[in-house]
Amino acid sequence: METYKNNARLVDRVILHVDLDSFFATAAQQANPGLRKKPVGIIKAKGRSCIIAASKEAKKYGVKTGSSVFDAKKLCPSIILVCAEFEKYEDITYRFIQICQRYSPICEVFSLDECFIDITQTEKLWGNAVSIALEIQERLALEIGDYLTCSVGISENRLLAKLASTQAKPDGIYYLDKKSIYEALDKADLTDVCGIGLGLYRRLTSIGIGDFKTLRACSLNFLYKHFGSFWSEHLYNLARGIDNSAVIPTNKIPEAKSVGRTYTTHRNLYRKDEVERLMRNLCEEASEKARKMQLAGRYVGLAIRGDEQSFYGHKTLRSYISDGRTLFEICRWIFNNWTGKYVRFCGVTLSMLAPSKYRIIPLFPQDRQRENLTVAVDSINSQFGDYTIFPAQLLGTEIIRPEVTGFFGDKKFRLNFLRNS
Amino acid sequence: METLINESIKVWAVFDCGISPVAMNWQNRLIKFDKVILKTDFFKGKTKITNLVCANNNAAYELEYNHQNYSWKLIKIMPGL
Repeated sequence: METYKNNARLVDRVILHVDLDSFFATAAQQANPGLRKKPVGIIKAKGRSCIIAASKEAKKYGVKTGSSVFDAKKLCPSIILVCAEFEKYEDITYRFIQICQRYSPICEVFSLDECFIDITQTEKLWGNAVSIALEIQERLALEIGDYLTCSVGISENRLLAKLASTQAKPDGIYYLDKKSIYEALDKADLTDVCGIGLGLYRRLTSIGIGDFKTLRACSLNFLYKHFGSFWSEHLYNLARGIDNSAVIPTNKIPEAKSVGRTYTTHRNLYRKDEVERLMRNLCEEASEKARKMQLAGRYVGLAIRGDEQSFYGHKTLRSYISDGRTLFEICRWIFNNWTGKYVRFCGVTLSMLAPSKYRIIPLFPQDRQRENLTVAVDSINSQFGDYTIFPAQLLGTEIIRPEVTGFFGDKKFRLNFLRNS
Repeated sequence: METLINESIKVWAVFDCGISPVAMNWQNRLIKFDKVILKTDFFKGKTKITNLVCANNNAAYELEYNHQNYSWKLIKIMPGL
Protein backbone atom coordinates (compact mmCIF):
# COMPACT_ATOMS: atom_id res chain seq x y z
CA MET A 1 0.00 0.00 0.00
CA GLU A 2 1.23 3.44 -0.92
CA THR A 3 1.72 5.44 2.26
CA TYR A 4 3.35 8.72 3.06
CA LYS A 5 5.58 8.46 6.11
CA ASN A 6 4.99 11.84 7.60
CA ASN A 7 2.35 13.33 9.78
CA ALA A 8 1.35 16.11 7.44
CA ARG A 9 -2.01 16.05 5.69
CA LEU A 10 -1.91 15.75 1.91
CA VAL A 11 -3.83 18.03 -0.44
CA ASP A 12 -7.52 17.96 0.49
CA ARG A 13 -9.02 14.79 -0.84
CA VAL A 14 -12.62 13.61 -1.02
CA ILE A 15 -13.04 9.94 -0.24
CA LEU A 16 -16.29 8.01 -0.19
CA HIS A 17 -16.71 4.78 1.73
CA VAL A 18 -19.68 2.80 0.48
CA ASP A 19 -20.80 -0.10 2.63
CA LEU A 20 -23.66 -2.46 1.82
CA ASP A 21 -25.82 -2.83 4.94
CA SER A 22 -25.94 -6.38 6.41
CA PHE A 23 -24.91 -7.60 2.97
CA PHE A 24 -25.39 -11.39 2.99
CA ALA A 25 -28.65 -11.16 4.93
CA THR A 26 -30.10 -8.34 2.84
CA ALA A 27 -29.14 -10.17 -0.36
CA ALA A 28 -31.02 -13.23 0.93
CA GLN A 29 -34.00 -11.01 1.74
CA GLN A 30 -33.79 -9.48 -1.74
CA ALA A 31 -33.84 -12.91 -3.35
CA ASN A 32 -36.62 -14.27 -1.14
CA PRO A 33 -39.36 -11.72 -0.37
CA GLY A 34 -40.71 -14.06 2.32
CA LEU A 35 -37.68 -13.24 4.46
CA ARG A 36 -38.12 -9.47 4.36
CA LYS A 37 -38.66 -7.64 7.64
CA LYS A 38 -37.91 -10.86 9.53
CA PRO A 39 -34.86 -11.74 11.65
CA VAL A 40 -32.57 -13.73 9.38
CA GLY A 41 -29.26 -15.39 10.17
CA ILE A 42 -27.01 -16.59 7.36
CA ILE A 43 -25.09 -19.80 7.93
CA LYS A 44 -22.48 -21.29 5.62
CA ALA A 45 -24.31 -24.58 5.04
CA LYS A 46 -26.95 -26.75 6.64
CA GLY A 47 -25.84 -28.00 10.03
CA ARG A 48 -23.22 -25.28 10.58
CA SER A 49 -23.16 -23.61 13.95
CA CYS A 50 -21.91 -20.10 13.19
CA ILE A 51 -23.92 -17.10 11.99
CA ILE A 52 -21.86 -15.44 9.26
CA ALA A 53 -24.28 -12.52 8.82
CA ALA A 54 -27.38 -11.23 10.55
CA SER A 55 -30.18 -9.10 9.12
CA LYS A 56 -31.01 -5.65 10.53
CA GLU A 57 -34.00 -7.20 12.30
CA ALA A 58 -31.86 -9.92 13.89
CA LYS A 59 -29.24 -7.37 14.96
CA LYS A 60 -31.91 -5.60 17.01
CA TYR A 61 -32.10 -8.74 19.17
CA GLY A 62 -28.35 -8.71 19.68
CA VAL A 63 -27.42 -11.35 17.09
CA LYS A 64 -24.03 -10.51 15.58
CA THR A 65 -21.75 -11.86 12.89
CA GLY A 66 -19.86 -14.71 14.52
CA SER A 67 -22.61 -15.56 17.05
CA SER A 68 -23.26 -19.27 17.43
CA VAL A 69 -26.61 -20.61 16.23
CA PHE A 70 -27.31 -21.71 19.81
CA ASP A 71 -26.77 -18.17 21.17
CA ALA A 72 -28.68 -16.61 18.28
CA LYS A 73 -31.72 -18.82 18.95
CA LYS A 74 -31.55 -17.92 22.62
CA LEU A 75 -31.46 -14.19 21.81
CA CYS A 76 -34.04 -14.40 19.04
CA PRO A 77 -36.13 -17.60 19.02
CA SER A 78 -37.88 -16.59 15.78
CA ILE A 79 -34.63 -16.25 13.81
CA ILE A 80 -34.75 -17.85 10.36
CA LEU A 81 -31.54 -19.59 9.35
CA VAL A 82 -30.69 -19.41 5.67
CA CYS A 83 -27.78 -21.11 3.88
CA ALA A 84 -25.38 -18.72 2.14
CA GLU A 85 -25.46 -18.52 -1.65
CA PHE A 86 -21.99 -17.23 -2.38
CA GLU A 87 -22.44 -17.21 -6.17
CA LYS A 88 -25.25 -14.67 -5.81
CA TYR A 89 -23.30 -12.53 -3.36
CA GLU A 90 -20.26 -12.48 -5.62
CA ASP A 91 -22.26 -11.32 -8.61
CA ILE A 92 -24.03 -8.64 -6.57
CA THR A 93 -20.59 -7.44 -5.43
CA TYR A 94 -19.40 -7.29 -9.01
CA ARG A 95 -22.44 -5.21 -10.03
CA PHE A 96 -21.99 -3.00 -6.97
CA ILE A 97 -18.33 -2.37 -7.91
CA GLN A 98 -19.40 -1.47 -11.45
CA ILE A 99 -21.81 1.13 -10.06
CA CYS A 100 -19.09 2.63 -7.81
CA GLN A 101 -16.53 2.70 -10.62
CA ARG A 102 -18.78 4.95 -12.70
CA TYR A 103 -17.96 7.88 -10.42
CA SER A 104 -14.19 7.56 -10.40
CA PRO A 105 -11.60 5.16 -11.81
CA ILE A 106 -9.89 5.26 -8.40
CA CYS A 107 -12.20 2.79 -6.72
CA GLU A 108 -10.81 0.30 -4.22
CA VAL A 109 -12.67 -2.91 -3.47
CA PHE A 110 -12.02 -3.24 0.24
CA SER A 111 -14.07 -6.34 0.94
CA LEU A 112 -17.06 -8.14 -0.55
CA ASP A 113 -19.43 -5.35 0.52
CA GLU A 114 -17.24 -2.25 0.84
CA CYS A 115 -15.65 0.16 -1.58
CA PHE A 116 -13.54 3.27 -1.21
CA ILE A 117 -13.90 5.82 -4.01
CA ASP A 118 -11.48 8.71 -4.42
CA ILE A 119 -13.60 11.39 -6.08
CA THR A 120 -11.15 14.28 -5.55
CA GLN A 121 -10.80 14.84 -9.28
CA THR A 122 -14.22 13.70 -10.48
CA GLU A 123 -16.48 15.19 -7.83
CA LYS A 124 -17.38 18.30 -9.83
CA LEU A 125 -18.50 16.21 -12.82
CA TRP A 126 -21.38 14.89 -10.73
CA GLY A 127 -22.19 17.95 -8.66
CA ASN A 128 -20.77 17.17 -5.26
CA ALA A 129 -19.94 14.26 -2.99
CA VAL A 130 -23.40 14.08 -1.46
CA SER A 131 -25.10 13.93 -4.87
CA ILE A 132 -22.75 11.08 -5.85
CA ALA A 133 -23.64 9.24 -2.64
CA LEU A 134 -27.35 9.71 -3.29
CA GLU A 135 -26.97 8.51 -6.87
CA ILE A 136 -25.09 5.37 -5.75
CA GLN A 137 -27.89 4.57 -3.30
CA GLU A 138 -30.51 5.12 -6.00
CA ARG A 139 -28.67 3.05 -8.60
CA LEU A 140 -28.14 0.22 -6.15
CA ALA A 141 -31.89 0.00 -5.57
CA LEU A 142 -32.71 0.42 -9.25
CA GLU A 143 -30.08 -1.77 -10.90
CA ILE A 144 -29.51 -4.53 -8.35
CA GLY A 145 -32.39 -4.75 -5.93
CA ASP A 146 -34.80 -2.43 -4.16
CA TYR A 147 -34.26 -4.08 -0.78
CA LEU A 148 -30.49 -3.60 -0.84
CA THR A 149 -29.28 -0.48 0.91
CA CYS A 150 -25.89 1.07 1.48
CA SER A 151 -24.39 3.58 3.87
CA VAL A 152 -22.00 6.18 2.55
CA GLY A 153 -19.35 7.97 4.57
CA ILE A 154 -17.69 11.05 3.08
CA SER A 155 -14.49 12.55 4.40
CA GLU A 156 -10.94 13.51 3.53
CA ASN A 157 -9.27 10.13 3.95
CA ARG A 158 -10.02 6.40 4.11
CA LEU A 159 -9.92 6.19 7.90
CA LEU A 160 -12.43 8.99 8.40
CA ALA A 161 -14.64 7.96 5.49
CA LYS A 162 -14.99 4.49 7.00
CA LEU A 163 -15.71 5.98 10.40
CA ALA A 164 -18.32 8.24 8.80
CA SER A 165 -20.09 5.34 7.11
CA THR A 166 -20.51 3.55 10.44
CA GLN A 167 -22.30 6.70 11.68
CA ALA A 168 -24.51 6.63 8.59
CA LYS A 169 -25.79 3.07 9.11
CA PRO A 170 -28.27 1.94 7.94
CA ASP A 171 -29.07 3.46 4.55
CA GLY A 172 -27.69 6.92 5.30
CA ILE A 173 -25.06 9.42 4.24
CA TYR A 174 -22.67 11.04 6.71
CA TYR A 175 -20.27 13.82 5.87
CA LEU A 176 -17.43 14.09 8.33
CA ASP A 177 -15.77 17.50 7.99
CA LYS A 178 -12.49 18.69 9.44
CA LYS A 179 -14.10 20.40 12.41
CA SER A 180 -15.83 17.26 13.65
CA ILE A 181 -12.92 14.81 13.30
CA TYR A 182 -11.97 14.72 16.98
CA GLU A 183 -15.59 14.64 18.05
CA ALA A 184 -16.28 11.63 15.82
CA LEU A 185 -13.12 9.84 16.91
CA ASP A 186 -13.89 10.41 20.59
CA LYS A 187 -17.32 8.86 20.14
CA ALA A 188 -15.86 5.77 18.45
CA ASP A 189 -14.29 2.76 20.11
CA LEU A 190 -10.63 2.04 19.37
CA THR A 191 -11.56 -1.13 17.49
CA ASP A 192 -14.04 0.74 15.26
CA VAL A 193 -11.28 1.96 12.98
CA CYS A 194 -9.19 -0.01 10.54
CA GLY A 195 -5.71 -0.67 11.87
CA ILE A 196 -6.51 -1.51 15.48
CA GLY A 197 -7.08 -5.21 15.88
CA LEU A 198 -7.75 -7.20 19.01
CA GLY A 199 -4.05 -7.73 19.79
CA LEU A 200 -3.15 -4.05 19.52
CA TYR A 201 -6.30 -3.10 21.45
CA ARG A 202 -5.29 -5.40 24.33
CA ARG A 203 -1.82 -3.87 24.44
CA LEU A 204 -3.29 -0.36 24.44
CA THR A 205 -5.73 -1.09 27.25
CA SER A 206 -2.99 -2.77 29.27
CA ILE A 207 -1.19 0.58 29.47
CA GLY A 208 -4.36 2.50 30.23
CA ILE A 209 -5.29 3.71 26.74
CA GLY A 210 -8.97 2.89 26.26
CA ASP A 211 -10.16 5.60 23.90
CA PHE A 212 -8.99 8.04 21.24
CA LYS A 213 -8.92 10.98 23.65
CA THR A 214 -6.34 9.24 25.86
CA LEU A 215 -4.42 8.02 22.80
CA ARG A 216 -4.23 11.57 21.47
CA ALA A 217 -2.83 12.76 24.79
CA CYS A 218 0.14 10.37 24.44
CA SER A 219 3.31 11.78 23.00
CA LEU A 220 5.04 10.17 20.04
CA ASN A 221 7.98 9.30 22.33
CA PHE A 222 5.71 7.50 24.79
CA LEU A 223 4.10 5.50 21.99
CA TYR A 224 7.52 4.74 20.48
CA LYS A 225 8.67 3.27 23.81
CA HIS A 226 5.72 0.90 23.95
CA PHE A 227 5.01 0.08 20.32
CA GLY A 228 8.17 0.69 18.29
CA SER A 229 8.68 2.94 15.30
CA PHE A 230 5.98 1.64 12.93
CA TRP A 231 3.06 1.32 15.31
CA SER A 232 3.83 4.50 17.27
CA GLU A 233 3.54 6.61 14.13
CA HIS A 234 0.47 4.68 13.02
CA LEU A 235 -1.29 5.18 16.36
CA TYR A 236 -0.24 8.82 16.60
CA ASN A 237 -1.81 9.49 13.19
CA LEU A 238 -4.93 7.40 13.90
CA ALA A 239 -5.71 9.41 17.03
CA ARG A 240 -5.64 12.60 14.97
CA GLY A 241 -7.58 11.23 12.02
CA ILE A 242 -4.55 11.36 9.74
CA ASP A 243 -4.41 8.67 7.09
CA ASN A 244 -2.47 9.39 3.93
CA SER A 245 -2.85 5.93 2.42
CA ALA A 246 -3.95 6.00 -1.18
CA VAL A 247 -7.10 4.42 -2.56
CA ILE A 248 -5.88 1.51 -4.68
CA PRO A 249 -7.93 0.94 -7.84
CA THR A 250 -8.84 -2.59 -8.89
CA ASN A 251 -6.25 -2.64 -11.69
CA LYS A 252 -3.45 -1.86 -9.23
CA ILE A 253 -4.12 -4.49 -6.57
CA PRO A 254 -0.71 -5.92 -5.56
CA GLU A 255 0.19 -9.38 -6.82
CA ALA A 256 -0.80 -12.29 -4.59
CA LYS A 257 1.94 -13.36 -2.19
CA SER A 258 0.36 -16.69 -1.40
CA VAL A 259 -2.47 -18.92 -2.51
CA GLY A 260 -4.35 -21.04 -0.02
CA ARG A 261 -7.56 -22.47 1.26
CA THR A 262 -8.79 -23.02 4.79
CA TYR A 263 -11.77 -25.00 6.01
CA THR A 264 -13.47 -25.52 9.34
CA THR A 265 -15.25 -28.87 9.47
CA HIS A 266 -18.81 -29.58 10.67
CA ARG A 267 -17.56 -32.17 13.13
CA ASN A 268 -14.32 -33.38 14.64
CA LEU A 269 -12.28 -35.57 12.31
CA TYR A 270 -10.67 -38.40 14.28
CA ARG A 271 -9.52 -40.67 11.46
CA LYS A 272 -6.32 -39.98 9.56
CA ASP A 273 -7.88 -40.87 6.19
CA GLU A 274 -10.66 -38.33 6.76
CA VAL A 275 -8.14 -35.58 7.47
CA GLU A 276 -6.08 -36.60 4.45
CA ARG A 277 -9.10 -36.42 2.20
CA LEU A 278 -9.90 -32.94 3.47
CA MET A 279 -6.27 -31.96 2.98
CA ARG A 280 -6.28 -33.34 -0.58
CA ASN A 281 -9.42 -31.37 -1.38
CA LEU A 282 -7.86 -28.13 -0.11
CA CYS A 283 -4.58 -28.86 -1.94
CA GLU A 284 -6.47 -29.40 -5.20
CA GLU A 285 -8.27 -26.08 -4.81
CA ALA A 286 -5.20 -24.09 -3.80
CA SER A 287 -3.09 -25.55 -6.60
CA GLU A 288 -5.81 -25.05 -9.20
CA LYS A 289 -6.08 -21.41 -8.19
CA ALA A 290 -2.30 -21.02 -8.51
CA ARG A 291 -2.40 -22.60 -11.98
CA LYS A 292 -5.27 -20.31 -13.04
CA MET A 293 -3.13 -17.35 -11.96
CA GLN A 294 -0.20 -18.93 -13.85
CA LEU A 295 1.83 -19.09 -10.67
CA ALA A 296 3.84 -21.76 -8.89
CA GLY A 297 5.19 -21.76 -5.36
CA ARG A 298 7.96 -23.38 -3.36
CA TYR A 299 6.81 -22.81 0.22
CA VAL A 300 4.12 -25.10 1.57
CA GLY A 301 2.36 -24.32 4.83
CA LEU A 302 -0.12 -26.48 6.70
CA ALA A 303 -2.23 -25.17 9.57
CA ILE A 304 -4.23 -27.57 11.74
CA ARG A 305 -6.44 -26.87 14.73
CA GLY A 306 -8.08 -29.44 16.95
CA ASP A 307 -8.45 -30.26 20.62
CA GLU A 308 -7.16 -27.00 22.09
CA GLN A 309 -4.06 -27.51 19.99
CA SER A 310 -2.88 -25.46 17.07
CA PHE A 311 -0.21 -26.63 14.71
CA TYR A 312 1.60 -24.95 11.86
CA GLY A 313 4.15 -26.79 9.82
CA HIS A 314 5.91 -25.72 6.66
CA LYS A 315 8.47 -26.83 4.14
CA THR A 316 10.49 -24.80 1.67
CA LEU A 317 11.22 -26.66 -1.54
CA ARG A 318 14.05 -26.26 -4.01
CA SER A 319 11.79 -26.16 -7.03
CA TYR A 320 8.45 -24.54 -7.77
CA ILE A 321 5.31 -26.68 -7.74
CA SER A 322 1.73 -26.09 -8.81
CA ASP A 323 0.07 -29.48 -8.94
CA GLY A 324 -2.32 -30.73 -6.30
CA ARG A 325 -0.78 -34.15 -5.84
CA THR A 326 2.73 -32.90 -5.04
CA LEU A 327 1.29 -30.26 -2.74
CA PHE A 328 -0.72 -32.94 -0.98
CA GLU A 329 2.29 -35.26 -0.59
CA ILE A 330 4.20 -32.45 1.15
CA CYS A 331 1.24 -31.57 3.37
CA ARG A 332 0.90 -35.25 4.31
CA TRP A 333 4.56 -35.30 5.27
CA ILE A 334 4.10 -32.18 7.42
CA PHE A 335 0.93 -33.64 8.95
CA ASN A 336 2.93 -36.55 10.40
CA ASN A 337 4.15 -34.11 13.06
CA TRP A 338 0.59 -33.45 14.31
CA THR A 339 -0.04 -35.12 17.65
CA GLY A 340 -3.59 -34.00 18.40
CA LYS A 341 -6.57 -36.32 18.82
CA TYR A 342 -8.82 -34.77 16.24
CA VAL A 343 -8.93 -32.05 13.60
CA ARG A 344 -11.50 -29.29 13.34
CA PHE A 345 -9.71 -26.85 11.04
CA CYS A 346 -7.27 -27.28 8.20
CA GLY A 347 -5.51 -24.72 6.02
CA VAL A 348 -3.12 -25.21 3.12
CA THR A 349 -0.90 -22.43 1.78
CA LEU A 350 1.40 -22.25 -1.21
CA SER A 351 3.64 -19.21 -1.17
CA MET A 352 6.99 -17.82 -2.39
CA LEU A 353 5.17 -17.56 -5.67
CA ALA A 354 6.71 -17.01 -9.08
CA PRO A 355 5.40 -17.19 -12.65
CA SER A 356 4.77 -20.83 -13.55
CA LYS A 357 7.33 -20.62 -16.36
CA TYR A 358 10.01 -20.85 -13.64
CA ARG A 359 8.99 -24.42 -12.92
CA ILE A 360 11.50 -27.05 -13.93
CA ILE A 361 10.48 -28.79 -17.15
CA PRO A 362 9.89 -32.47 -16.29
CA LEU A 363 12.66 -34.70 -17.58
CA PHE A 364 11.27 -38.19 -17.05
CA PRO A 365 8.32 -39.56 -19.06
CA GLN A 366 6.40 -40.39 -15.88
CA ASP A 367 6.60 -36.75 -14.69
CA ARG A 368 5.71 -35.45 -18.12
CA GLN A 369 2.70 -37.76 -18.17
CA ARG A 370 1.55 -36.39 -14.84
CA GLU A 371 1.91 -32.82 -16.04
CA ASN A 372 -0.07 -33.61 -19.18
CA LEU A 373 -2.75 -35.15 -17.01
CA THR A 374 -2.97 -31.96 -14.92
CA VAL A 375 -3.30 -29.87 -18.08
CA ALA A 376 -6.06 -32.14 -19.42
CA VAL A 377 -7.96 -32.15 -16.11
CA ASP A 378 -7.71 -28.35 -15.88
CA SER A 379 -9.01 -27.93 -19.38
CA ILE A 380 -12.01 -30.25 -18.74
CA ASN A 381 -12.80 -28.58 -15.42
CA SER A 382 -12.58 -25.11 -16.90
CA GLN A 383 -15.00 -26.17 -19.66
CA PHE A 384 -17.55 -28.04 -17.53
CA GLY A 385 -17.07 -26.64 -14.01
CA ASP A 386 -14.89 -27.22 -10.95
CA TYR A 387 -14.40 -30.82 -9.87
CA THR A 388 -16.00 -32.37 -12.97
CA ILE A 389 -12.89 -34.53 -12.78
CA PHE A 390 -11.29 -34.95 -9.38
CA PRO A 391 -8.83 -37.29 -7.65
CA ALA A 392 -10.21 -40.75 -6.82
CA GLN A 393 -9.20 -40.13 -3.22
CA LEU A 394 -12.14 -37.72 -2.93
CA LEU A 395 -14.70 -40.27 -4.12
CA GLY A 396 -17.58 -40.67 -1.68
CA THR A 397 -16.82 -37.45 0.18
CA GLU A 398 -18.70 -34.21 0.06
CA ILE A 399 -16.43 -32.09 -2.07
CA ILE A 400 -15.52 -28.65 -0.74
CA ARG A 401 -15.87 -26.19 -3.59
CA PRO A 402 -14.28 -22.79 -4.10
CA GLU A 403 -16.23 -20.01 -2.45
CA VAL A 404 -15.90 -16.33 -1.88
CA THR A 405 -15.24 -14.97 1.61
CA GLY A 406 -16.58 -11.78 3.15
CA PHE A 407 -13.05 -10.46 3.51
CA PHE A 408 -12.55 -10.98 -0.24
CA GLY A 409 -8.88 -11.78 0.33
CA ASP A 410 -8.51 -13.25 -3.14
CA LYS A 411 -10.05 -10.22 -4.87
CA LYS A 412 -7.16 -9.88 -7.28
CA PHE A 413 -7.86 -13.39 -8.56
CA ARG A 414 -11.64 -13.09 -8.52
CA LEU A 415 -11.89 -9.65 -10.11
CA ASN A 416 -9.51 -10.64 -12.91
CA PHE A 417 -11.36 -13.88 -13.39
CA LEU A 418 -14.71 -12.09 -13.60
CA ARG A 419 -13.31 -9.54 -16.02
CA ASN A 420 -11.99 -12.27 -18.30
CA SER A 421 -15.13 -14.39 -18.30
CA MET B 1 -40.33 -20.45 3.53
CA GLU B 2 -39.45 -21.92 0.14
CA THR B 3 -40.24 -25.01 -1.91
CA LEU B 4 -37.51 -26.56 -4.00
CA ILE B 5 -38.72 -27.61 -7.46
CA ASN B 6 -35.72 -27.99 -9.82
CA GLU B 7 -37.76 -28.78 -12.95
CA SER B 8 -37.32 -27.83 -16.59
CA ILE B 9 -39.93 -25.33 -17.73
CA LYS B 10 -40.95 -23.19 -20.69
CA VAL B 11 -40.54 -19.45 -20.28
CA TRP B 12 -41.65 -16.51 -22.39
CA ALA B 13 -39.01 -13.84 -22.11
CA VAL B 14 -37.94 -10.63 -23.78
CA PHE B 15 -34.24 -10.53 -24.67
CA ASP B 16 -33.57 -6.84 -24.95
CA CYS B 17 -30.76 -5.28 -22.90
CA GLY B 18 -30.85 -8.33 -20.64
CA ILE B 19 -33.44 -11.01 -19.98
CA SER B 20 -36.94 -10.14 -18.82
CA PRO B 21 -39.17 -13.17 -18.25
CA VAL B 22 -42.84 -12.45 -18.89
CA ALA B 23 -44.50 -15.75 -18.03
CA MET B 24 -43.78 -19.46 -17.58
CA ASN B 25 -45.57 -22.68 -18.23
CA TRP B 26 -45.23 -25.02 -15.29
CA GLN B 27 -47.32 -28.17 -14.87
CA ASN B 28 -49.71 -26.97 -17.60
CA ARG B 29 -50.31 -23.71 -15.79
CA LEU B 30 -49.47 -20.33 -17.19
CA ILE B 31 -47.90 -18.13 -14.53
CA LYS B 32 -47.36 -14.47 -15.36
CA PHE B 33 -44.64 -12.38 -13.73
CA ASP B 34 -45.01 -8.78 -12.66
CA LYS B 35 -41.36 -7.97 -12.07
CA VAL B 36 -37.84 -9.28 -11.77
CA ILE B 37 -36.60 -8.69 -8.24
CA LEU B 38 -33.05 -10.02 -8.54
CA LYS B 39 -30.81 -11.03 -11.39
CA THR B 40 -27.38 -12.60 -10.91
CA ASP B 41 -25.00 -14.43 -13.22
CA PHE B 42 -22.53 -17.17 -12.53
CA PHE B 43 -20.43 -19.54 -14.54
CA LYS B 44 -20.46 -23.31 -14.43
CA GLY B 45 -17.23 -23.98 -16.26
CA LYS B 46 -17.63 -21.94 -19.44
CA THR B 47 -21.42 -22.03 -19.35
CA LYS B 48 -23.05 -18.81 -18.25
CA ILE B 49 -26.06 -19.29 -16.04
CA THR B 50 -28.41 -16.43 -15.21
CA ASN B 51 -30.40 -16.70 -12.02
CA LEU B 52 -33.60 -14.65 -11.96
CA VAL B 53 -36.07 -14.18 -9.15
CA CYS B 54 -39.41 -13.16 -10.67
CA ALA B 55 -42.46 -12.22 -8.67
CA ASN B 56 -46.18 -11.69 -9.01
CA ASN B 57 -48.85 -11.01 -6.41
CA ASN B 58 -48.97 -14.63 -5.29
CA ALA B 59 -45.39 -15.82 -5.11
CA ALA B 60 -41.76 -15.35 -6.12
CA TYR B 61 -40.10 -17.83 -8.49
CA GLU B 62 -36.40 -18.48 -8.84
CA LEU B 63 -35.54 -19.38 -12.42
CA GLU B 64 -32.27 -20.37 -14.03
CA TYR B 65 -31.43 -19.71 -17.65
CA ASN B 66 -28.63 -21.66 -19.29
CA HIS B 67 -26.99 -19.53 -21.99
CA GLN B 68 -25.42 -22.54 -23.71
CA ASN B 69 -28.48 -24.68 -24.41
CA TYR B 70 -31.12 -21.93 -23.93
CA SER B 71 -32.96 -24.00 -21.35
CA TRP B 72 -34.93 -22.76 -18.36
CA LYS B 73 -35.31 -24.33 -14.96
CA LEU B 74 -37.65 -23.49 -12.10
CA ILE B 75 -35.45 -23.77 -9.04
CA LYS B 76 -37.76 -22.81 -6.20
CA ILE B 77 -40.96 -21.06 -5.25
CA MET B 78 -41.07 -18.58 -2.40
CA PRO B 79 -43.74 -16.40 -0.77
CA GLY B 80 -44.61 -13.29 -2.80
CA LEU B 81 -43.98 -9.64 -2.16
